[in-house]
Amino acid sequence: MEVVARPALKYQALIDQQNLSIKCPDSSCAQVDMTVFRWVKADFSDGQSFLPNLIYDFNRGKPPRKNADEDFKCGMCALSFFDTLESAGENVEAIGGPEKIKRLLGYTHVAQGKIESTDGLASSIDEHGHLLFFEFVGVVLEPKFTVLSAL
Amino acid sequence: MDQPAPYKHIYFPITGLHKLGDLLYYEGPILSWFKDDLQHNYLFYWIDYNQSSNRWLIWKVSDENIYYYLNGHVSLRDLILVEDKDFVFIVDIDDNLSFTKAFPLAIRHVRPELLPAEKSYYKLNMPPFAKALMDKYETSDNYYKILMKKQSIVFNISPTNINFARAVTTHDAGSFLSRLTRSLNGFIEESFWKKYRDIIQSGSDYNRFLNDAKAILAPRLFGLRFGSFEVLVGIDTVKKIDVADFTDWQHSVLPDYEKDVVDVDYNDTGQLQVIAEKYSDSAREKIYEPYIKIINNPHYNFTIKDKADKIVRAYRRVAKEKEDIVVPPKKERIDEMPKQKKFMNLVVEVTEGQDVTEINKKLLQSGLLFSEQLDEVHLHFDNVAAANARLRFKSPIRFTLSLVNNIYTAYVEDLSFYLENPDKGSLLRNLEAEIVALYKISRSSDDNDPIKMFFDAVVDSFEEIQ
Repeated sequence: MEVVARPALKYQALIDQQNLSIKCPDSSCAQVDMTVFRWVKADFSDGQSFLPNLIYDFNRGKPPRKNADEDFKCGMCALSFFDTLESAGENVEAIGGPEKIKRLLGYTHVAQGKIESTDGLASSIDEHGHLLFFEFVGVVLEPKFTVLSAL
Repeated sequence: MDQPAPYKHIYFPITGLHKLGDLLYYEGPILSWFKDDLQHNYLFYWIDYNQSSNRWLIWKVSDENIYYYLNGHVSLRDLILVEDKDFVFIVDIDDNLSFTKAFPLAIRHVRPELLPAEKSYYKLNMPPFAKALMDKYETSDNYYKILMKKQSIVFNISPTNINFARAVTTHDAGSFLSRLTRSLNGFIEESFWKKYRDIIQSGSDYNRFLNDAKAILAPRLFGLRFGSFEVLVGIDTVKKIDVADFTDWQHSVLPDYEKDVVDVDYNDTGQLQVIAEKYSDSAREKIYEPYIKIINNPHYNFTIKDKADKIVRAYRRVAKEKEDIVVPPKKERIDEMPKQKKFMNLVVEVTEGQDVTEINKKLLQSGLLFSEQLDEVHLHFDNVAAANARLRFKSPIRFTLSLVNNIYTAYVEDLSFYLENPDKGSLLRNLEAEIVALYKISRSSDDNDPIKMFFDAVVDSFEEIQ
């Protein structure tokens, strides 16, 4: 059987910087084809709508919200998606409303896109409809997403 | 954050904090649940940041309120603002998880823009680390109240006159609750009847079970709010009686009431006609009349809200012609009808020669020997008068005066005629006039005419009055 090597991760260096003792991404992450939803800025042109949280926060001069958990640190090197538009909306309300998201996270809209198995590794979906996505090298997500509406 | 580093200029007296998990998370924690060394709950809510630290709002929360929050009954905003504490903590935490600043702040001084929105309800799935609290709470006495609250309907009345802010008068609140109770009880009776009339054969059993069911399902208040006047009304779905399918029926009552009574556009003829066909006149009178009275009360506006405080139905006043489709026009009720008049035959002991108009209450009390209620009495005229004429009789003309359903009837057997009138005075005047008229006609009749023969026998004199 021919073994096809998995492409390298786009943010492997960032993961390495965390000095984690756990496997990141963990072995449950898989290549999938699915439609996902993400909070974004209305205009993708500034290149800030599809960045792992650690880089995104650094770019805007904000310290990360950390905790000591290594799974958490691993997750900071991935992108956040929601599995449905409803999940994306429910999380907006639960967290405190669109204004809160805009002020603290900087996102103003929700976008829909289709990720393919060649794009990266997706975690399982948690009880909030949230999943992590670790991009492969060379993948550009912006063209795959369309802004649906304001948060 | 698990082991906050000491910092010399902070005031944060809570010790032994350990994290249960993140209740809200997006690319980092947003709302985290901690317990201290006394097992008190503390929530950390991310509210702000600067270049070196993230700022968190930290406050103590009861098990009960966390339960309410995680079940979607109270919003995160309410969880922060609930008046069970004097202050919250504001804490800045840096990149190394050290507390760089911590101070207490009166809750009223927290800037509004830092608080979550009004509708910050937790609609997400329950996190695994909350299971222990859920299990504990759902076996507690308070669970009954929580469960009922979950299944209740939120009714709100808000005064049309806002001169007194949004305060509803106690009179309006009282009549509102009374009418709502009548409507719901009417619905419960009707629903029980439809379900069990063929199942419970014995009338006494039916009444016993109905009374038991009504005692259990009596509408109850599971929440109140006084900004305007808002009540969460529910019915029990836990307690049972030993009747077939009771649980299923019990669970269906409030949703059915919501569907057939609450969620209705009372100005939509089509919807009202469906109701008119589905429910009998008496059922509609019990269920819908009080409900429409609530809607049409000019003192307040009536709305239905969901558990997230969103208005889901705002009723418009119901037009009379629409109301008449649902609520059958009222039949005259017994107590609204005029009192039935009757004749009374009294035997009273009086002094010889005493004027009967002097008979008073005292005399009746002391001298009444006999009384009898009568439908008719036999009376007579010694003379009659009409316009421009008077008849005097040597033998009185007798007639029978009866009173049925407040209608007087005078029957003169000898002259074979009768008259009716609801007014006794008018009847007697008309009777006299009719006798005089018959007499005049009889004067030109044949001698064999029975009327003429009768008058010839009884009339003493006739005189024209100028």
